Amino acid sequence: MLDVRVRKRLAAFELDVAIAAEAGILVLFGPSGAGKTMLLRAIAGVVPVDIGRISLGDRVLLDTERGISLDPRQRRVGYVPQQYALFPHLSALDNVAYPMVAGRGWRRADARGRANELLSRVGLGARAAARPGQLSGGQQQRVALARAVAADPEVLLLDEPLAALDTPTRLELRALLQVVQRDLSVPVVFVTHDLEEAVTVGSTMAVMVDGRVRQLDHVGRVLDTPADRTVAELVQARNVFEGLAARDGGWTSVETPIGRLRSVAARRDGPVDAVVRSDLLRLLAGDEEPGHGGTVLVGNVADLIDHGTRASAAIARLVITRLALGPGVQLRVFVPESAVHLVDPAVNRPLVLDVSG
Amino acid sequence: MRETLRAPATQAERVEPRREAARPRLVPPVRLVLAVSSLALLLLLVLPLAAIFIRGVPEGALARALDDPIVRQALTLSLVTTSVSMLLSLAIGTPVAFLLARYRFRGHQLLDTLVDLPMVLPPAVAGVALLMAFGRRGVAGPFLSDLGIEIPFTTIAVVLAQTFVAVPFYVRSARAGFESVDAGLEEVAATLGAGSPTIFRTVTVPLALPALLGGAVMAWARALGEFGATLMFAGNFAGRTQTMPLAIYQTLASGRLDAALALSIILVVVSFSVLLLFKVVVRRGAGAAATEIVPRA
Repeated sequence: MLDVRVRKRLAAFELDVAIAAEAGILVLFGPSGAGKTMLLRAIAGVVPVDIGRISLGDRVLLDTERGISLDPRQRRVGYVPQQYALFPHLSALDNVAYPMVAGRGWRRADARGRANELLSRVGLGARAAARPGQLSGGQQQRVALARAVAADPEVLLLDEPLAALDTPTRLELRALLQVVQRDLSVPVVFVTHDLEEAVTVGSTMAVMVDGRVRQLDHVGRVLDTPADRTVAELVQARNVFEGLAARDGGWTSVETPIGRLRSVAARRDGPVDAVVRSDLLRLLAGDEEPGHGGTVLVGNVADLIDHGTRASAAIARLVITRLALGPGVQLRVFVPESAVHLVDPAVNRPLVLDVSG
Repeated sequence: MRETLRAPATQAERVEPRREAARPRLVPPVRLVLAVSSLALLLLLVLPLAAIFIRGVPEGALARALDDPIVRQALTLSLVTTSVSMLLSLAIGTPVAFLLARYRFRGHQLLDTLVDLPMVLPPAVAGVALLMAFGRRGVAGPFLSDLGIEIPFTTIAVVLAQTFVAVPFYVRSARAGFESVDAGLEEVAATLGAGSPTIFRTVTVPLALPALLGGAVMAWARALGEFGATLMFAGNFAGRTQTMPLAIYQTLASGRLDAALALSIILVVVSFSVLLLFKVVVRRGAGAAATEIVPRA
């Protein structure tokens, strides 16, 4: 279990983070410049923090109050920076053997034996003699992963490990990473700015903006119920509408520019932003009757984007996709109350509802 | 000159794919200028060197020179003192180069400039300065005398003079080498459990090695050619302070042109061989079998 509470004054903002990670993959998601890399480096101990406490299992890595700050070499973190940082002058085998020889004091032959095993496990047994410069990006990342594992870490810190890789390689590595995590059963902190990666890699997600964690929750919960406007935008909840909430029996109803929506959200009054989950919307064919507990919206298709297997349509004052759709076609959309989530209001709302299947 | 001594494959070049630079087409007038200036440079550098060989020495003069105990002493002294000077430069220059490359502190600029100073200082000034420091009436001289140490006009003075003028060449190159090493690699090595000395030995030095070796060869070459400072600070005593350049000077001054030529040829051959050897070693090192280097704990 990794427990991190750190503060560090940076040029543009203050890094002020409290996160905890159990064995499993914690995705640290946020835009570039949010402080994700800095946070990883602080956990690894290669940059100092102003105030904070970091513990890993029952070991305290950092406690500014008690004047404790372990050297990176004593922290037992498997830190893989963005460009992998393989030693260019060493073979893949010796890169993996490095932590065992230079860090754990193993005999060279033993370290190489174990390094060979690890390389085989990441599928690179045949490339043991190659230098990093002779390996592809995906292969380099595998070596970096094997090297981090060779250090017998109690946490893995991976900075954008799948960025800069092509799609098939990314999928392979993602699978490998999940296997490695299961085998090690240590917490893995996985930094990414890619939403698709963020939602597919792990089960828990911390959304970081301007040095702070805005939301730390199960991936599904973050997607369904973003904590605020910024998070909603980051997880591409595009259907966010300004509204005025009012109690309506057991529910809350919101008056928005696209119509009156009903929400299961806790009863509240006053200005809100309504986040509508497009995957829960239902297009109504012909004069099909909607179910209960929702709202029906009517509008015309403004724009249609064909994604191949799915399509998304932006509808003026409304939403939806399917069938013989085209600009100008009138549609009816059923918006179940469970699809409407309310967050604190912000500025700049769109007046177009986007539905993607 | 420094450029030609650089290792062929620096780390950056190996990692980055080679980029083809778009070269502009050369118009005839530019081509002419380039051709003429290249030729002029070639003449200036090569002609004097070639002339030594073209002018030649009488049959047997080289063998006689190599048999001459004075020449043998000078050659031996040169090889021994320059080797010691180079090692001394490595020993005191490496930490300074690392300090200059990795840390910013008050006086950084000052130290940097001081280190470079001997490169632009006339050797005669260096000789006087060394005398003023370590001479009998110099700043540190009396103190050293009390300890029974006399430096001027000894072999130690030769080494000091050579090191004085040579160490900047090493420091400059080594500093550039250390700066070229990605600090991220050292950070990762630390997270992998390696201590600072281990990281220095297994990551920093191997990656900076071409620059370190290049600097060492430059320092050695500069020491081998040292003349002015040595003459003033160490004197010209055969077997004790008379290095090859001093021997050549003395031979020429006493009117024995053929002997001076013979000595020069020997020095050219020695210098050329060392440079060539260095280049071969560095090239080998850069392409060495990957499995050869595993850090020792």
